[in-house]
Amino acid sequence: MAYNILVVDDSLPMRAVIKKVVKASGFDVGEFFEAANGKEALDVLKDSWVDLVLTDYNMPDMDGLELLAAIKGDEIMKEIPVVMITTEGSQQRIREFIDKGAAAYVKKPFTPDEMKSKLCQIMGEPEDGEEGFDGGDDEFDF
Amino acid sequence: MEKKDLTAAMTNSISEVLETMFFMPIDFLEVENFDAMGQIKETETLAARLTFKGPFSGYCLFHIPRSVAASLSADFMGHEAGDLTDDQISGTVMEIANMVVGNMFGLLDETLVFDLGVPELVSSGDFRGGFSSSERELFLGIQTLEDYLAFQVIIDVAGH
Repeated sequence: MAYNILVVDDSLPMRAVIKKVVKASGFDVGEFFEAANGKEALDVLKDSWVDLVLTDYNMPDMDGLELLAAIKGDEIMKEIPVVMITTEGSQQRIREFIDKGAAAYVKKPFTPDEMKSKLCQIMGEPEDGEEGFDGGDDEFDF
Repeated sequence: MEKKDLTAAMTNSISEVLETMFFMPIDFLEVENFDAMGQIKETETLAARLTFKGPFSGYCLFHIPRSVAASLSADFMGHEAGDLTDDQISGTVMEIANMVVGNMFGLLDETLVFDLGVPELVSSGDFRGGFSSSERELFLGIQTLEDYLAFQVIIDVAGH
């Protein structure tokens, strides 16, 4: 199954890196969508089929927690898994993410293996598939 | 919060971010301010500022020569350095500041909650003068294979 993934981060380089890491992890990605904040993300979600949201926390206009609340409060979108990708290290903030419905969180800085492990858990994919980090066509010099 | 704890957390965070996400080997210099590391003054230098609020508040500055930032951005994004835009290079610099500061607070004490601002580009030269080695100011000079970097932490409002 090919998953459509929405990457939400106000940092253009970080969006590029997240996409690169996910592709290199061997996930069958149908299409990547991008948004620079929560508001843009909601616009994408209204217009497109998205299977998984990977979002930063600290963003202008609408942060990741507000985006999470909007998704979980919507009857149509609430089943979409949301992964928080964040520099936040406080236990209280991480509990807040999970309590409000995040499927998981990935702490920056992250390694490709950590990212792969989290995504595989959420999507119910085996972690040691045929395509690994060295198996794709994309150069992976992260 | 004691300065030695902040220094240890900041040092570990910088190492983790630059080595984990950028594969950049670094050495910390035994310097207390820019005057002691004249090399960084010789190049065009970018700087990112990130404010934080919490049990204590202030801001962090990350200074990096543009050539090093371009090289890091190219590796980070998988592009040729010559193909990068200024926005991509400055975005990488701001993201490094964001990751270092956020990770630093987690290493300092994961029971504390800090709110980080949105990183912004500032003029590196505007923040080099008047720096002191007081308990509220931290300077970390860093040597890479290519050049020199620096981080500053300035605490405006001390905690309890």
